[in-house]
Amino acid sequence: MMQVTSEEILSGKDLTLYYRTRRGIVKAVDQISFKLKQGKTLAIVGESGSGKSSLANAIYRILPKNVEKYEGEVLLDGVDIMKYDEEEYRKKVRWKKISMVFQGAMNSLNPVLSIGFQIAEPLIIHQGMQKDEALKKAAEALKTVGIHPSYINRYPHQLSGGMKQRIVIAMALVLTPHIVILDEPTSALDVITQANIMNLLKRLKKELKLSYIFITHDLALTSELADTVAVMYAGKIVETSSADVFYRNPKHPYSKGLLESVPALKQKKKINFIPGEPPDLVSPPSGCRFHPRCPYAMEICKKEEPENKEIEGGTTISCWLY
Amino acid sequence: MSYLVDVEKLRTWFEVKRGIFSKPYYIRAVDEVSLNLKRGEAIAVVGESGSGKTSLGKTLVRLYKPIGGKIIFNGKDVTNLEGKDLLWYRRQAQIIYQDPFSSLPPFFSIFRILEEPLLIHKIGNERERREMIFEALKNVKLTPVELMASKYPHMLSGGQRQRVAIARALILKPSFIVADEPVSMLDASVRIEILFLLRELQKNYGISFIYITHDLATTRYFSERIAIMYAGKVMEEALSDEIIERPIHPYTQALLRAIPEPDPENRKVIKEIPPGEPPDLVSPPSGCRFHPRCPYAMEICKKEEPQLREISQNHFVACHFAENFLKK
Repeated sequence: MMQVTSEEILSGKDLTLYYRTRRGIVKAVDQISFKLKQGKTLAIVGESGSGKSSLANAIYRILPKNVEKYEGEVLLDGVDIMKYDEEEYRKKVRWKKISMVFQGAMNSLNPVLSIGFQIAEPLIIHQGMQKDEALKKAAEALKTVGIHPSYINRYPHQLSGGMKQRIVIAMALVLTPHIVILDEPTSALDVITQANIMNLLKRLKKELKLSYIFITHDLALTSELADTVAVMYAGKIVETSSADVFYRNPKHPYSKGLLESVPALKQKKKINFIPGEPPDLVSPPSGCRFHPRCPYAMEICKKEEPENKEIEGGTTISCWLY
Repeated sequence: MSYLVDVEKLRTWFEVKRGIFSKPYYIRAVDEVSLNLKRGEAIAVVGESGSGKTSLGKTLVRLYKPIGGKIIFNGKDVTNLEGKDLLWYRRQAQIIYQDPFSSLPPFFSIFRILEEPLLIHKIGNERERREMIFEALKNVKLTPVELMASKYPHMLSGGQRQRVAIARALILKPSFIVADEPVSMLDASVRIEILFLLRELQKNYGISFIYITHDLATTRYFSERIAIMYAGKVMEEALSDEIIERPIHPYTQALLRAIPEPDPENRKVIKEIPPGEPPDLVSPPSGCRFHPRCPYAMEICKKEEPQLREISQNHFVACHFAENFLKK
């Protein structure tokens, strides 16, 4: 079903992450497959509770204690990194090959360390670099994200929100990874600051030949970066389409509903909402998980779960309509 | 024209004391804002964080006391009301908060939450209150009402909680509501659902409505007019379509450019966006507060503060060069 091509830098197959809670098992990531191409952006979009952040955590392997099940295949340059033990993953993958910009990370900068040292720290720890040299690198990293190197001795409280977010991005890039996972990288920032950060991410992608996994709930913002859009619903990816197909002609009824709920500023477009609420991941609905909210639901949707299949235009979809 | 709410040169400054001997300084959150609102009209106040939009909203419902200017409500000056008179005004003017997760008391049932304002204002007997509460729940489509009334906030989803907050604001039958970012904590689809509900209730009951938001994209659907705030000042005000189709102030233009539209072509372009971030409201820039970030700033912008003036019919702009941008 999934073919590995040379330009794929990262791919997942049947990636699964369940959590154990008092209420039962939460199926946050349920047999998800995805492909990330070299130099491209794969956007993972979904509402809160759809499992999109869990998917990022499953790829970056930062797992809480209550993991019930963590399995599947993640191929990085053709090697299955799920087979690595924790130490191997930390040494070979994390920060060096794949790095991550966490949601709200700008608020978790250490208030008593200079930003220069915070950027330099991974160089000292992961690469055993001398402090002076690492700080020099940190100054360069600041320049890369559009902050004057003289800021190196400042502390987080002296910076604005937008600058802190740039620092967090500089930290993610300091070990020159090829893949960066961006988990809601602009949430809590103002629109103009957000647009500046998106400009920066676009520039870095081109200059440093980065590939992004962009996790967000904001479909309008998604279009600023995404080459491919994967829509998550209740722990599953229900549609993966190229950005051109997705924004002009979304296929899955859930994708259509989501796009209809995005207000457009410059054209007078009708907006609508999807009635109901996303399901509880402890006991998701039978069959297709979207069927209780789907305007096109048929008998079969309640009983059988639709398989992932490829349709015209390179779209992969799980829906009985196709 | 008589307005339900008429605001004139309103100033809400917060005093910050540094020590007993040093002079206090002020955060000028709202600085000479004038705004008016007809009966049954909805205005969106749009601004980034720190623009003073929330302080404006809270001052309008008199949760804050302004240090200058006037708020005239239905012909009555409510700027400095105290005690019983203030309680009267609070019954007419309600506020809905941003965060439905912290604006509802966790140990109160929904019934008790909705009963609270009625108790404060000594409205009805037990049976009447019960009817009013069920009616309010029905209005915000939280049904079955008996079941919903017996629940506690943690048992509800974000969208449902915000419905409770709306019901709580409506139960006193106010004629004026300030909604401060009522949907920004909700998912996209739920967001639209709640905004539709607010719009429907606002129209049905003829409520005058101020919708405070950072999200310019939704305003066109939910308000007749838009006021753009920056650093404590209104920079531009006009009918919603007018502002979106013919923005004049360089700040409004930048804001409109910055807002992402769902369009796959976006990924191919770098947007032209002014650098920097909004100023500190303790010592805002001299002259026009946007001048340090404005691509068109001239000498005069640094020295003289532009006044909000009518540039074309019902289109108000605070920019020295507004006429030049109008021609474009």
